[in-house]
Amino acid sequence: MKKRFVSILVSSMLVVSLFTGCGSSEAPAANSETAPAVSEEASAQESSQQSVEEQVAEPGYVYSQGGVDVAVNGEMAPIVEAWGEPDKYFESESCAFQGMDKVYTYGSVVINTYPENDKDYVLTIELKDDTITTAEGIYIGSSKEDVVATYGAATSETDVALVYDKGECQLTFFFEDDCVTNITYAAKMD
Amino acid sequence: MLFTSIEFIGFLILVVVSYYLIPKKMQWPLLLIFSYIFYFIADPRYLLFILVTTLSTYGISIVMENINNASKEYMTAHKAQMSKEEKKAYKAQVKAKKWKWLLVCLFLNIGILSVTKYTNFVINNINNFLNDTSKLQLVDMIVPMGISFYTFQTMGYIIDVYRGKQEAQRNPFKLALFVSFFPQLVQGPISRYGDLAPTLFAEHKFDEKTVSFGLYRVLWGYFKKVVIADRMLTAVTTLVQQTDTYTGTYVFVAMLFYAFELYCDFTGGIDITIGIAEMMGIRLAENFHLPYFSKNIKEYWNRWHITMGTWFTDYIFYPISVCGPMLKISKWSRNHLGEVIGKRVPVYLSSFVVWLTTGIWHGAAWNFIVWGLMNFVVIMISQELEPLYAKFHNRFKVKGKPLYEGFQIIRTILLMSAIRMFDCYRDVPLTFKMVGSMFTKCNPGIFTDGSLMQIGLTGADYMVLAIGLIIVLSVSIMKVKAYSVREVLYAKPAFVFYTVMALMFLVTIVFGAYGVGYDSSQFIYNQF
Amino acid sequence: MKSKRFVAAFLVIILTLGSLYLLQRLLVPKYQTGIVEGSMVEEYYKDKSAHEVLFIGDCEVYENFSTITLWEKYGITSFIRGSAQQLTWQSYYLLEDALKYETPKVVVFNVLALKYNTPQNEAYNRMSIDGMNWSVSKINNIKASMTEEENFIDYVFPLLRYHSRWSELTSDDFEHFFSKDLVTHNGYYMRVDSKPQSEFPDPRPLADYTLGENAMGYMQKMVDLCKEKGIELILIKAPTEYPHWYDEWDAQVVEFAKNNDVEYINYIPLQEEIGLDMSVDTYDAGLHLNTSGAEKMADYFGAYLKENYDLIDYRENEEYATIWQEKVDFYNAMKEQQYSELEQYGELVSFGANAIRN
Repeated sequence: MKKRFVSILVSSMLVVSLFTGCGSSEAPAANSETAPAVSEEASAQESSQQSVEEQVAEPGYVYSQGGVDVAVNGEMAPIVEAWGEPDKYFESESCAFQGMDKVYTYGSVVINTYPENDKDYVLTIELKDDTITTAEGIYIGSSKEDVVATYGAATSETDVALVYDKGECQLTFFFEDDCVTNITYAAKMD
Repeated sequence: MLFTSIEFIGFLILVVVSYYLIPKKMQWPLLLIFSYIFYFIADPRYLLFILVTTLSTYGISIVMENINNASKEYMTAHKAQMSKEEKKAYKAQVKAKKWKWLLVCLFLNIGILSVTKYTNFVINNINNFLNDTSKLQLVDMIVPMGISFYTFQTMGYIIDVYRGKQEAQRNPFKLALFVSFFPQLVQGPISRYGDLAPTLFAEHKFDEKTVSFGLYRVLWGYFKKVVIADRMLTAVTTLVQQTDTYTGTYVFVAMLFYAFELYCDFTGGIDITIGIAEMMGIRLAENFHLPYFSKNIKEYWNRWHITMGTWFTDYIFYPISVCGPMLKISKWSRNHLGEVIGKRVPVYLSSFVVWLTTGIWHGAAWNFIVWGLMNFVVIMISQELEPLYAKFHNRFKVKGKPLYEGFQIIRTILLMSAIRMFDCYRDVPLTFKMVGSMFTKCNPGIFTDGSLMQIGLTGADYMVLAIGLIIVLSVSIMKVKAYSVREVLYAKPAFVFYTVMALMFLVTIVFGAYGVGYDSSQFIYNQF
Repeated sequence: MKSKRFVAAFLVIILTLGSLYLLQRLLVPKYQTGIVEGSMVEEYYKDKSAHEVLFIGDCEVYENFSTITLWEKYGITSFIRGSAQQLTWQSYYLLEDALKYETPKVVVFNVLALKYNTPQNEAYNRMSIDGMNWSVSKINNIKASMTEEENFIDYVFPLLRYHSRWSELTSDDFEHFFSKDLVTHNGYYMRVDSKPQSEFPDPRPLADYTLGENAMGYMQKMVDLCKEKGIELILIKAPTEYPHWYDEWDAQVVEFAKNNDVEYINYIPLQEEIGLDMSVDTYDAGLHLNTSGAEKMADYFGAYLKENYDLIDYRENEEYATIWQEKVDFYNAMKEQQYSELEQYGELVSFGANAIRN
């Protein structure tokens, strides 16, 4: 009779992992490449990306004003909808008509966009004066110490700036005499 | 190397051409070499895993067979001297020896499978249970390509050897090829050693019909995969990922699209696999038999992913049903719960285990487990309702009528598609919410107001999809009527047969959803 | 019986290959109207006469220098090997490619592209590379230019890249199935319309102004190649001010030119001297010059070339004169057509954005 256990063993070993916890923890698939294309079977073949890779990409820094979040690589249209006509607007046709690069100026904020698939996405967000602050409270005129105290150690540093990378966003503080002169959120290249 | 990559196509041409150019004796060793190259290209580290599985299975199968042979010899030599009891005791002793070895093999290989595939799932759940997502660090585990498939295939073999149904393969290289044969490594079918070995190791002479039939099937597979499934992927991804926007009727659309996408994706892939093998004269087991023409869910599972289903039946369901403890449970429940319930207990328990493991096998996530159990529930319910159906059929005499059969088929497709939404949304509560919204939120206006043009497909895409699906459906209907399109075409002048293949190729090249021009990346931006 | 089947198979294979070729011809973009930038690189091979001056670079060369003015005023034979957002390595490989056919006396490279250090955009890559004849230079160019999403094989068989254009074919694709018309004037892209320059947005400060090593490396390779072939290399920054050319970048190019003993001229501060009036000499509000601007620029630059380099006045050479007369006629005819369209419609209709067919 013992041989009948063979199959119990096969299954029970698999079952064991079941009883180690409960509740669903899987985030909805974040990666468009792997999500629904992966069939029941396909996921078995290409195996479990679920765990490490599939976690949602870390969100980058976001600039917030008037209840609207502006994030690099985010769509521009909802921002224009919320903030209305910009104070200043500049557009330049890219070579060979591959779309318009646009620059929107809203008060002290300048937003550059890039075109993709007939939509405009935020490329950079620039804070120009001390009437506005980053979501974390840094403004033009803050000291270098304030920046480091708020954001911690910079990802990289140049003669004129501290650069913080987070998610898809690169946040750069420019200094003159250890005083912030410009704040730019930019979509990370490469 | 994905099946749809240009590298794979180059690799394939190289394999098939050299297969027929070299001496026939070298054919299977060549396949072994190419299979290992295929695996090596995917990731050199994978080789270690497949080698461990192959060598452990090889060694243990030989040991078990040696035990068998030795015991037989002993028995023949000592038959006369042994009493009945002695014989029985000796047999039990032999079996126990073999059993130990089998245990080692299963523990090792299913252990590898479990550790690589399920470690992070377990960690996630422990963290969740402790309410602290950073308590245990997730490990960066490599999951060898196709490990679920080759582990099952190999375990099937070792169990067969244990059962004495299969002679052990004494050539380790042959066994290695059985484990690693490259077309089926990635997505099955899960072959039985006894079926595959004769054709895998046989010498194959170049035969125009065999090769062109194989190629025909490969082309047909690519057509389904690249022209239909990959094109639908865009829409399905959009619908499934933007769960705030796409509710109600959109969920229904997603459900249908996913049903077609999955069908074309999976059967296309298997057609490519079987076709590749066929080009070299090797016959693989069929994995599908017109699943979307099933009239109930049980039938569906006999027609969809067939090799997996039979594997679970042979190596899990039956053994569990007749194992000692189960017989005890069965006896107990008959005695205590009455005949009606008692009869069902063992069947239910075995089925439960089968569907649970089926779910787990599909992926290390709760949605797959729930998906598996949902299948279990539906099958059991329909089984319980059987008498009711029978009464209904008796009364209204609809059984076998085309209209009623159509209804049954559509009902089965819808039911299976609905259950599959767990696999789509990958999150159990979310799936319930979304599927629920199909009934609570009614927005059929999306069919007419152009909303369906916003989900990543253009009018041209819909046209290709419609024509493509009509072709697939027509071919399926031919098959229902027991025509093989290939055979019909082959009987016509050669020029016709080849032209059809050429057209499949050209259509796939032009209308396939692949490459830079086909924009599947747009959602990456949309997500954030 | 068997052999018959093989013959049929063989025939079908030939037919399939033929169909693939025809499909490829049909589906590859023709770049004949509207977006013509994709035709620029291949037009070089259609010009059978030699050139003493070769421009390489991006839109800041192919829109800012009128080759016909260089000819008419100074008898200078020139060609512009430029394309949209042509990256530094693409310019280098186009130079390498051109030097297989001829050895000009002067090569002019516009430095704006140095701001890009990595592959940028698939569409521009295709426009710059597809038109090249196959050679080691093209292969290297592809390898240097491919973005992550691209595959080498797509360049070898453009059908794999453009197969899904079947739903957006235009009359151009059928008209120019076998032959394409010239769209440039020795690489110069003509636009006679005018849109005055307006205020540009303030340049954004950069955390790091260092020009990328990769781009600078390819400029170094240009210098080395030119030295090896005895060609004078001139580095220029075209007089247009947007996209912004930072002083810090300029300083690095000045330094580079000094170290390598090549000429570098930044024309931005020389706008006035050239005679450019950015309220009339640009067609897109200051990004690029229009024909009146490009002619002024060519006039100014031609005088400089004439004075500093030993260039032959080919107007006296009958063979060249005949060839170039044809070019001049084509130039004038297009100019006339553009002016008449401007007069009639107030804008260009068969050139530029309005001519893009979809």
